[in-house]
Amino acid sequence: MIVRSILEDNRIHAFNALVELTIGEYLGFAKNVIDDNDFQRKRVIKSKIKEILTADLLRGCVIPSIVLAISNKEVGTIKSAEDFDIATKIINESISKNDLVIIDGLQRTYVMKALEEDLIRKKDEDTLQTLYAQKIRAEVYLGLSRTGLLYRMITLNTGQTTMSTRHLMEILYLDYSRVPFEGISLIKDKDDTRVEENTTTFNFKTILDGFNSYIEKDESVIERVDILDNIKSLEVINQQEEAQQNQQDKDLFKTFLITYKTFLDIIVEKSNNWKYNSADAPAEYKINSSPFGKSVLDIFKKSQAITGFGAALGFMNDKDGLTLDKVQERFVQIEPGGDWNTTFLEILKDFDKIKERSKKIGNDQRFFFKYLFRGLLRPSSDHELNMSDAANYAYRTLADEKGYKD
Amino acid sequence: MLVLQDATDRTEHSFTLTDVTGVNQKEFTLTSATYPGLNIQFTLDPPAQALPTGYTVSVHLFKNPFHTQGQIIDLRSADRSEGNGRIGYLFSLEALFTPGALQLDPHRYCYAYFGIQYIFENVATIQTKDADIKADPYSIMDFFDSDTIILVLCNEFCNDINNFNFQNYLPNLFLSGFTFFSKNSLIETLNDNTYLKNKFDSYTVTTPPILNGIYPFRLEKAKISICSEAYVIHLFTNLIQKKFDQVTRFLMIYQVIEIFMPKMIHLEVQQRVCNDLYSLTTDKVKELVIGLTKQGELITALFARHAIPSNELSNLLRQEILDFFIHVNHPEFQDQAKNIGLSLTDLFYAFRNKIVHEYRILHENGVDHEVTKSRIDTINHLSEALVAETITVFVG
Repeated sequence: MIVRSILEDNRIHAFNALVELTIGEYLGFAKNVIDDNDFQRKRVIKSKIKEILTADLLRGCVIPSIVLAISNKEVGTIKSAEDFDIATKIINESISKNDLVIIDGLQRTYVMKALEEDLIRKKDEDTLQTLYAQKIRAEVYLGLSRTGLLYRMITLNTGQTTMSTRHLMEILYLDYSRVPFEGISLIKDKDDTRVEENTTTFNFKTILDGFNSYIEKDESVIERVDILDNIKSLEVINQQEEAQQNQQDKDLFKTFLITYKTFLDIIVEKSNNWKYNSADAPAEYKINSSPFGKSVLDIFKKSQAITGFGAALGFMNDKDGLTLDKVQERFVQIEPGGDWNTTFLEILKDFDKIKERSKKIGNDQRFFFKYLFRGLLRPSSDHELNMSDAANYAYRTLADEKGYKD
Repeated sequence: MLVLQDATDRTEHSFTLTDVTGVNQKEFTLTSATYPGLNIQFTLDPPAQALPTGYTVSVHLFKNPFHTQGQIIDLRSADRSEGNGRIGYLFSLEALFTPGALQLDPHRYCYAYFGIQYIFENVATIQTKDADIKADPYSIMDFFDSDTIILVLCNEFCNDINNFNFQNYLPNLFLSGFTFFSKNSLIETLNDNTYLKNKFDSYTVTTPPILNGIYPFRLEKAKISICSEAYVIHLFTNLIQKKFDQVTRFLMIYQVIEIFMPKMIHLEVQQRVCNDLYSLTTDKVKELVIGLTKQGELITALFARHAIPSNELSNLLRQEILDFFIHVNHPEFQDQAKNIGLSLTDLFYAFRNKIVHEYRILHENGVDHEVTKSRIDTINHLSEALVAETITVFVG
């Protein structure tokens, strides 16, 4: 592999190194990128295009540059466009650690991989070696921020099978699911590890939903695939990361998750890790179906709660300038408004009523949480820092909005 | 089976169920022979339970404006004498994939599971939305509207009923708000009249209240002589879902009454003439038979003896039609004292005749046409309830 040129991309503040390598070298690491990355594996190949590309490769065509990015910023970056040697070293290190993401060229990669497998199966060694020796170009982004990576993926994927912002974020933050940070582990659905009832393990998908809700200021999980919407969302992330002046690590996703963890830690402590006991529930709080959650964490670690939290905080950041840092400072002041047991029983009763009355249970539950957190955390709200009042406000607002009949 | 389209060339690719995995919750994986590399996965939310063997299901789609997602309807038929008459369940499709929305016991779970399996395995797709191939995960709502209700029928239970055809029960289901639909008959309009809502509430809002979210609904015996008529089935499977102009809609509904007429002649002749022939004078026989040549008499016979609608529905529809005639200032209906004596038959038949022969009354000068249209809409909704109820309660 040889670095031929380095350019500085001032739009996304990264260096772009143009490298020349053989298909053999490329497939040597690209297969790991695809195989280990669930989200990249979901890209699909159109059969007709595959046929055409395969035929072209066998005829020795020059394919357009594959675009890669180094996903792990710890690997470092270069300081100038003359640092060819350092760039080579960084890229090789990233290859050995499988810290690369394919921004553009997944389909071409699949075709090369399939062609290689086909030639191996047919034991056509000569053609295989010719394929391996063919040269291709790749652009590798160095020192790319997550939002920069996402921006490039969005703009380069225009016209192809569109991915939603949500899906692009899965790719973007995937490495957080591999390596814990600040004691927090993000568990994917396919992992062997379970999400425990604690504040240090979370479902990766659920947290992404919550973060997406924060960016979009919307608790619903509708996928937004319009390119301009995606770019607007990126701008939101960029602006907020820049605004986190006091923090060394400006990663907004991390800040969001830590904010939510802080909320959970405080509520668990204040409520003495409350758990539901049906025998203790007074008659007026008896519920007809299974409780929405059987403990504080069971309630608040659900997707409905995290997306409601995200939407509420996104709204308050936009309207009131209440950043994630500032809202964290308010958690410690939250009081139950009575006692914690009664407050949580009231909330469970509200969810029971939602199940009986709602035409879209999931959406209404998310709506409830959005207004719960708005009532609870918005400065100068009538229900500020009072969980019971905020819950009553949330249910009343929901019932009015959705036309529940008592 | 689900069908996805390639967004660029619109080629269709069929995806069928190839794997079911998961210990706690079941994950269904669908793949396509013509589009390799794309797996579509859905997770059934309610925790997995043991599944019985030897049962198969069929699935049909409905919507109901009164139904809430948490309600599971335990559907029973008076035609099935075994057990409690259960033939299936109605579930909100979206609720089955919404975390925490439904808790299912082992019995209900197997209906839900087999119903979902049917949707994914059936040789023909029953999805009602077109979906494009995309890189993102799919939701069941990419293929079905979010207010879709699935009726999961147990074939083995239905086979206990002679010549079972679920379409024979569509009028009865419609009477409590369940409107059948399919990809070829998408719902453009739903009847949300209070009368239908009251019927739905009669088994969902009970005293004491049902606490487990499972609401038994017992269908009347299917009246094969009418509900298997080709037009009746066509009405409830292909027409009633669609928007028509108001007059067409009323005539479409009234057509059911027309289908009853020959049956009325047979029944009336049998019951009122033949069964009593030698105790009737010849003049009386003549009077009865001549009466049967008048459609008004036949409709009276229908509503008074052979398919008696509820007092509530009769009164509602009667009053709506009367209010309509008063609104359009029809000269025949301006005498309040005379109007009191008019029956449902009188008014219903009169409405039909005026629509056909005096269409112009809908466009009288000086009459608020928006109110006219609104009144006809209500009459149409109640007329749909009337024909559904007439078919359901018909004794013939």
